[in-house]
Formats: sequence, structure tokens, C-alpha cells
Amino acid sequence: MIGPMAAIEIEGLVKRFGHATALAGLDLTVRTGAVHGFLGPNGAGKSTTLRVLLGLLTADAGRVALLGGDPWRDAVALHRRLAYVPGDVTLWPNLSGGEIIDVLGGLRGGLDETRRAELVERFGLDPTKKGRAYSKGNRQKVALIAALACDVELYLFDEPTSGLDPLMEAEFQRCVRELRAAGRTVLLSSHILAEVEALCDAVSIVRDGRVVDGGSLDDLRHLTRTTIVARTAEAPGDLAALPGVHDAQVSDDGKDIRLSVDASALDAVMKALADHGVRRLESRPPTLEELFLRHYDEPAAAAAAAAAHA
Amino acid sequence: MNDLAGTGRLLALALRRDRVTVALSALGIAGMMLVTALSYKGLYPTEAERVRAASAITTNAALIAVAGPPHALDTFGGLTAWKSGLWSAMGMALIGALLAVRHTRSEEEKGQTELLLSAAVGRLAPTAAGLLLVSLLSALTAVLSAGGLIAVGIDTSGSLALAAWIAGAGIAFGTAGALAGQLVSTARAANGLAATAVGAAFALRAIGDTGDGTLTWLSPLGWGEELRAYGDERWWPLVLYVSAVPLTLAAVWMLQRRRDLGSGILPARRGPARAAGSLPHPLGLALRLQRASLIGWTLGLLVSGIGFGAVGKSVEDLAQSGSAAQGIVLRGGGSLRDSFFAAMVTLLALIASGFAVQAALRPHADEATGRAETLLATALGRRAWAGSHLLLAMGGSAVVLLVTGIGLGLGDMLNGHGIGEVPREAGAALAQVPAVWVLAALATLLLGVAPRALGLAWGAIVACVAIWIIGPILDVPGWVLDLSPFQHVPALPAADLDVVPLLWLTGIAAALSAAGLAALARRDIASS
Repeated sequence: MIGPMAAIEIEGLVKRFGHATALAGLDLTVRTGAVHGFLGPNGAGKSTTLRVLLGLLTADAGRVALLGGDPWRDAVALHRRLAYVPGDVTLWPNLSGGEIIDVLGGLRGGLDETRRAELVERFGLDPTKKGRAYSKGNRQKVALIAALACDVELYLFDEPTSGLDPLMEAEFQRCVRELRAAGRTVLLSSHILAEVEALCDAVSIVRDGRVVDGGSLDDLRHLTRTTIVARTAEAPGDLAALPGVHDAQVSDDGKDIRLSVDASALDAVMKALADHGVRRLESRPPTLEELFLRHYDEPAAAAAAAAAHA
Repeated sequence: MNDLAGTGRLLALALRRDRVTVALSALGIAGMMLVTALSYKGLYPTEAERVRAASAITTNAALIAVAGPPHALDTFGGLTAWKSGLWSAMGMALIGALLAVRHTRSEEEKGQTELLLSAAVGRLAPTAAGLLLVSLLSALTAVLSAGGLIAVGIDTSGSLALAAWIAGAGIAFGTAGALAGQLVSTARAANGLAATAVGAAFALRAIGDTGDGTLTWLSPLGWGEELRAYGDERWWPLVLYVSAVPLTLAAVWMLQRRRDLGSGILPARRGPARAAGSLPHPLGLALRLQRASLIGWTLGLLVSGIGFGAVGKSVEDLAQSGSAAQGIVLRGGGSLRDSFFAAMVTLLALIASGFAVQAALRPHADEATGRAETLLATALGRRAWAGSHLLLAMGGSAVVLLVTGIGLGLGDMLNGHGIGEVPREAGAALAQVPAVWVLAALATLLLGVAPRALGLAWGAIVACVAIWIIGPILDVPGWVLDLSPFQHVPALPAADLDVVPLLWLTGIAAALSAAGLAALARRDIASS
């Protein structure tokens, strides 16, 4: 059931390229007005999903609704209501950046002049350079400005900040927050967890052509497990018994500790360590790869267990 | 010699990348010569027949303009060299120049050179490797050509001279391509510059060969003619190649050493900060993207038209002297002069189809780079996208041909003919438009149906050229000849205008276009 509240509704989407299956029954719902993170490693199927949403690829199976329409059949009409920024922007070498912004904006149905001027200023783009002369980051800015200067219902970003410097990345984040404040819908595909955490209300995690986890950002908190490597002056006792502590490894003398801990239990673990004299401390947030390995291993382990019982 | 460090490895890399192109180019050119030689063996087995054919050719200035001056046409070697020597040398020159640009400026533009030069690779090594590849290809083609001809019993010394011509043209224009790559900062502009140089060399020797011969000596394509393959060869004109190549090379070296990576000697220009009002529309965008190419082709063909038109004078003199050449080889029933113009119009239309196919295939460049994804994510429909480029290809080729025809007429006016020739030649050129459209529409069909086999669109042009050049001398079945749309165009101004085949061709073009656009609307768009 596609309600008016869903900007994007995908059910059981399958896309094959020859023998390779890019999407193996992907489900995704993006609520209207939400900033939705689409997380996954390279090759997981994020870009393929976006291309199906844009009507560039046909779906082999499944149901896809975009802004209440069929992305393949109603492509042109739907594209007037959305703006898209690819992850790797190629420009026409002989058109200037300013011309390209106007071309893309014009072809979408017109852009907001004030906003265009403001964005060129904010991103510090020289619009008179020819397409071939821009660096990767500047090519990305051209596409971003062309998209953000359009007042549309839905913004699709495919790893939009690749190649941007940290200042520009922050500027992009400000822009997305403005879009959310204005009630626009954003689908942000990314492999940078921090970016998604900073911006998104909800996330879907895709792996091997399927969404393996998702929900609101609060639901995602359980994924933000921090790895801690520490050495203490005296053995702190059985940290593994604390709730929220996982995969604890302790040396024989009990002073070298390696464990991962849920955000909710971080405070308790830090206190326990501090009470026993911290000599050395390293903490690092989970890499996306670790998250995916977990999502990959758990169903595999469950399947193996089920097979053993059968 | 530090500047050349790594040349060997880069050459190996270049060979690995282009081994198929290199092999096919060499085999193609050598094979075409061998086929020509064998066909003459079948066509004129006796010396008496060859002498008769030769007498028709030696006095025909039009044929000399397009094929070069004949030598020893009473021999198979002489006939082969005359029919295929100049065109093989020109083909070799074009391939050499484009290959040199591909391995120099094109790599530099795409950023591969930067990666290579960050390794222990000398500044001049990429260019040196590219030119070594061109030299290898030229030498291989020469060896295969000469080997093939000698193997079928054609005179050794003459075959070597012919081979030297081909190799000389390839290497000379390869270095010219590298020079073009130094001057401008994009591969596209460098290709244009190099192709213009080849065209200019062809035109210079055409004027020279049909006149007093002075201009032939200014053309690297003409130097090989002066070797006089098969007609008591002389070898000293090879000195011209041997001295021109190092001089060009020195210029390339000098420019390469003093400029920054990525820059050209001519500065890169800036663009407007805002787009013109017409730009955010499919046709406006197509026109803007193809404007430079359209202007380039138009000017190039205008100049060619004027050049060929001016040559018409000598043809007319022959016609008045009642030469036996009248009506031979050239199609059509009119005067020799009209037949000459009819043949020139076909030749120029074949060249103009290069523009038409290139323009119709332009959406592929967007698709291959991922720009299509950005474009089609806007409210631009696929038919409007590819259709605009096709429309531009069709409209543009009509403009190009009209201007070409006007050029022919203007060239003819240089010979003292009235302005009345201008509309006559322009009309003859416009009659070719539907045939060119068929090739453009075929390109669009491939774009929709077989996006991985777009080379077939270029293959179709090559096939049409082959049918035009060697079709009449080979015993090719009629239906094969009929595959070329150009065979169906009335040979104006030598023949009368017959609109029926033109309407058929237009109808075929429309059907192919519609099928291509419909298929494009249905298939997946490739992602970068």
C-alpha cells in the first residue's frame, strides 16, 4: 500500500546484469519529508537502486513507486519534481560550470535565481571555468549547485560529498538541513557513517543487493558500538559481564583489554577502567565494514545452524 | 636521456592496449592493396588491355586529382599503386596522426599521463612511446604491403617504393599529430588540427599534380608520389621524410619540455558564467555541444569544394580536346566535366557522412562518461535527447553539403565560369543529403539496438567508400553495390534529377531513426 506519506516505495526489487545480480529483492521506503540515509559499501547496489528510481534501468522484478508514479513510465514528468547528484560527476568539457548549472536546472524545469547565486557564493565556485578544467571536488560542486538551486520535492544524492573538502562537506550538510526544514524529502546514499549520522532521520543499510537493516536513527544506535583497547595498572575484573559489552578479550594478567561496547554502556566501561588506573587507551568507532560483516555473518550463522538441525 | 626513462615499458603498455587496432590497420591497408592488385590481374590480364586502360587514365585530370599521377600503368604494380597508393598513404597518415594524439594529448587530458609521470618515467617518454608505436605500425603496414605485392609477383623495387611512401606518410603525420597535441590542450582539438593537416596535404598535391607540380613538393603526401613507384623509381625524395620528421620531432620536444602538464601552448579559454537562454533545451544543448564540430566540418568541406571545383578547369580542357577519357570510370551520361563534378559531389558527401555519423552518435559520449545519467535525471526524455542530436546531424549535414556544393561552384567560378554554376553544384550536393541521412539514421538505430557495436556505423561509411572506389573495378554483384545509399542518388549534374530514389532514401532514414529512438527508449542506460 503506497500512502501519500511515502516518497519512495520499493518492494522486492530485482535487477540482474547478465549473470550478476545487482539487486536481489530490495525493499526501501522513504517517508515524505524525511532525510533518509542509504548506507552500504561499494558495489552493494546503492547506485543501481538510484538508477532504477531514475528510470535509467528497467526493474527485472519488484514494485517501485516514486512520488506516487512509475519511475520508468513517468520518467520525464517525475523528473520535474526531483533533482539528482551522481557520485562521480562528469561535465561537458567545453561548457562552463555556470552554463552547465543553467542547463541542468533549465532541463529540470527552472531554478531559483536567488538560490543559485547564493549557492555559487557559498560553495565558492568559479562558474566561468570550462568543464574540463575543474577538479573532482569542483565538478561535484557544479552538480550540487544545479540540484540544490532547484525547488523540488525530492533530492537524490549518490555519495554527493566524494572529493569535497571538509569545509564544503559542512556546507553541504547545512544545505541538507535547510531542505529538511523546508519539508523536502532527501535520499542520501553514502558509505560515510558520520555523514549519515549527522544528517539522517532514518537509514537503510544495503548489502549484496538487499536491505539488511534499517529504521530510525535511534534504532541504529545499537550499531554504533565502539571498540576499546586499553591497558590498566591493575586488572579491572570481569568487564565482559557488564551489559552492553561484547567480544571482550583479556590478557592473562587481566590488564590488557580489548572489547567493543554499545554507546549506552560506554559510561559504565569507562568508569570501570578509570577506577583501575588507565595506562593506555584507544577507542575507535565501528567501521562500516565491521557493521556489514556482522550483518553478513549473523544470517549466515543462523542459516548454518538451521541447516544443522534439519 | 633521463627525459626518456621508461619509454620501453610505456611502448609495451601502448602495444598491449592497441594491439588489435594496430594489427587491423596494418592488415586492412595491406589487404586493400593486395585485393586491388589481384583484381587488376583479373581485369586486365594482357598488356594490351592495360595500355588501353592507361591511356584513358593518364589524360584524365579529374582522376589524377583524386588518385595522384599515374606511373607505368601498363604494369600491375603501376595500376595498383595508382589506384590505391595515395589513398593508402592518406589512410596511414590519418591513422598515424590520430594514434599519436591518442597516446599523447588524449592520455594527458584524461590524467593517465600524470599517473605515469609520477613514476620513474621521463617527461618525453609518453610522447616517445606513442610515436614509436606509430612508427611500428607504419613499418608493419609497409612490410605487409610490400610483402603481399612481391608475393603475387609484382616488381620488387616498385613495391618497396610504394611501401616507403606509406610508412613515410604514417610517421610524418604521426609526428604532426604529436605536434598538434603540444599546441592545443584537448584531444578533440588536436585530432581536428591533425586531420586538417592531412586534408591540406591531400589538397596541395591535388592542385600540384593537376597543375605545374610545384605544390606537390609542399605536401608530405605528395613526396611519396615523387618516388614514382614502378615507373623508374627515384629514391632521393625520401630525404624529405627523413629530414621533416626530425625537425617536427625537435619542435615537439622543445614544446613538451617548456610547458606545464595539462596545458597547451595556446591558452585554455574561459566560458560565460551564465548560459544563453536557448541552452537549457534539448536542441539548443545539442547545437552548443556540436557547434565547433559543425563549423569545422563546414569550413573543411567548403575549402575542399573550392579546391575540387578549381580542378574542374583541367577536366574541361580535356573534354574540349576530345580525349578518349570521356565517359570512362566516372558515372553519368553528361559531359566529362559534369561527370567529374558528379564524382566529386559523391566523394564530398561520403566525407560529410563522417560529420553526420559523429553527430548522431554524440549521445553515446554522454552515456559512456555518465553525463547521460545526470541529463536523463532531469525532465529531458530519451527521444528528445538522442533525437535532438540526430536532428542536428541531419540538419547539419544538409548545411555542410549545401556549403560544399557552393564551394564547388565558387571554385568553378575561379575558372571563369558564371555564377550560374553555384546553384547547379549546390543542387547536386543537396541531392546527396538523403543518402547521408541514411547513414546518420543507421547510427541512431545502432545507438538504440546495439550500443556496443557503434563501430558498425563507421564501418558503414568505410563500406560505402569501398563500394565507391573499388566496386566498379571489382566484379562485385549489383546487389552489393546497391547496399550503398550513395549508389541510388542521381549523379547530378551529369544526370537528370530523379526524386523517387531520394524519397525512398528519406523514407528509409525516417524508419531507421524511428526504430532507433524507440529502442533507445526501452533499453537500460549504461552507467559509467
